[in-house]
Amino acid sequence: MNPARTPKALDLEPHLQQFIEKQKSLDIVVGIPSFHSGRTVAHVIRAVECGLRKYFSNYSTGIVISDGSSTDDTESVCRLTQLPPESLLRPTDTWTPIPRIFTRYSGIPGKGSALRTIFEVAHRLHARAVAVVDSDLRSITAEWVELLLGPILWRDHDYCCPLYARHKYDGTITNSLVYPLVRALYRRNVRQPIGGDFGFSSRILEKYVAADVWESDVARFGIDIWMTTTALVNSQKVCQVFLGSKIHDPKDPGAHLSGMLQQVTSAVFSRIVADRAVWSTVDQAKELSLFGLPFAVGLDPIHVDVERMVATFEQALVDLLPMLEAALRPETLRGVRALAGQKPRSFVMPTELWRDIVFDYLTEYATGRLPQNHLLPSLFPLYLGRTASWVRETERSSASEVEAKLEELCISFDHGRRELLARWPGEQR
Amino acid sequence: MIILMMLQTAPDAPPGSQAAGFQQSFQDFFAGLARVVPTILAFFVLVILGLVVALVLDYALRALLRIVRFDEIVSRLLGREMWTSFGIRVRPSTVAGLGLRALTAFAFLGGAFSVIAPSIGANLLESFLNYLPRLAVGFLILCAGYLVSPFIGRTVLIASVNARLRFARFAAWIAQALVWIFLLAMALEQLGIGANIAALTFAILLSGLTFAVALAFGLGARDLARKALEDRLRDATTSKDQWDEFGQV
Repeated sequence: MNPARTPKALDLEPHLQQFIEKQKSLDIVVGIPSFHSGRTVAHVIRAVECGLRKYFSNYSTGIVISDGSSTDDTESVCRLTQLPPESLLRPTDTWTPIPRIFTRYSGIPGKGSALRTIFEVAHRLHARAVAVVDSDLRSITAEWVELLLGPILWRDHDYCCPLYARHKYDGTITNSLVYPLVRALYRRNVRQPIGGDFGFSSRILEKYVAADVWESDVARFGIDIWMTTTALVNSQKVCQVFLGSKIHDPKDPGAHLSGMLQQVTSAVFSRIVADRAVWSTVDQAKELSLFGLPFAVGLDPIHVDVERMVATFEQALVDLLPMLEAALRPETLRGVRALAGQKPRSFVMPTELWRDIVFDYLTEYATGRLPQNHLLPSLFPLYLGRTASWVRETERSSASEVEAKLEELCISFDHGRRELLARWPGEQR
Repeated sequence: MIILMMLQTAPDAPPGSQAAGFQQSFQDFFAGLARVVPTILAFFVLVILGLVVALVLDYALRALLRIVRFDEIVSRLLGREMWTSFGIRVRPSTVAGLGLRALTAFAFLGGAFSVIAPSIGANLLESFLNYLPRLAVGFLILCAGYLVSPFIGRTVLIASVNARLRFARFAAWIAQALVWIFLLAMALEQLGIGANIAALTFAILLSGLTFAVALAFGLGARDLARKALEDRLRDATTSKDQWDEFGQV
């Protein structure tokens, strides 16, 4: 975000402007970014409407669906979906429809651009609280709406992050990279910084609307981490809400995981570099409040091919050695090369080594010496090595034991923070 | 030449006039030499001056490029250590300097020839000046190849490793070779050296390479081909659990 620049004002479509003029103001806006979500968005709309009616009947509310020009039946589903009255057991005197609008966003295709339109509409409607939820959720319930908006309206918080129950092998990019990094540098234990479903106040909404990031990767894929880090650097009132399990509609199964890691790493690293002046001054770690009642959920098993991961890691040690030599410090590279030749079933990448790898990549990213599209993808085989190690280490662990191991990783990242700051580009003496 | 003149004047000349003949011969020789030497000297001076100027310009350009951090800019765009990792150990600024040095030296050589034989020199210089744009374009094409091919090779290498291809380095080498073949054909066409042959060679090499890779993959690595296709088909129809192993961040 460049505070010195004023973002180009977003032109809303006429029907959206008419909607705003008609509603004038709404206390709560729930936004749903969508793209080819015809199969799932109906459930999301019903859950949101049910939640708004159930928990926020005393507030004026509205739903905005911001679509990326879907060619399936997303639009008609969004327009026609109704909440059956029997969804609510408690009788209501009136059944006034909750205002809902479907629009196609303009700008760079991506979730960021979709959310930008939602932010703009919510801002012009003077919303006090806003929640955004993905359109492909199968596990969303009415309670999610209460949990995402309640802390904003009733507990004076500015930002609600989701906390999901996930399988120990699920969300490995979050577990091994995003969570430890955000926690160590921003000093807040945001367990799911890129969860995708958030609630936030008008104060944070102001920051989002005023930001000039809509021509960058934030508009494409980096919106989740940008929202979270923007909230972290602008407010002390950030909390987590337990939402249970998160079940998605299968999407883009052909998408290569290395590309996904590259996107996430790029988004996280760019925020860390941009926010460096802020996070580097935060000394005291702060525990976030947790709302909602955590409960155990049954999670589907996930099958992992450790041998393939280790094979890729081993191959990278040979084929990508020049790249690794450029990205890693000599001592880190020595540690990485020392892992060569381990058997997949006993493969271990020490926590400290993984931390050093991540920090080396981060500092190299910050210097800008290597092209990003070479640097970031070359992290992928090392990440696979770390994941193989994680799978082996936790194969017999319960959920709580897994969290304890994750805590060890976070503490390790925390210990490396001072050294990272000392060797941050421009800081060396 | 002197001996020849002496032999021609010696047999029937009277003894007194022999000395005069020798003297005349020497006078003619020195007169001729006096006419030629400045030209030869001018030729060598121009050649040496050309080499010196070329050297100075080379160093000046390299210094200028160092000041503007040309190498860093190129390396930032294309990869800092690509020079060594792909067998290229020359810096971009060095290449630019050497190019300028060669052009300057050649221009001075043309000037030097115009002193000895004005018509040949002028023709040479004119031809050179006419050819210069093509030469420059050809040089630029090769520079582009020099800069781009390692970058493409690196991109293919990383993508291949991440895609778990066993022949990642071979794939990177092929990609680099293709870029070079393509750009060399373009450069030769620009220079007018066997334009058709260059294009034909490129077409033959490319189709041959494609055929060879297809054969190698189809026959030599049938199992791998089958597995790759199976993996791809399985990926396309995979359930949430299978892809979700890493699919969700």
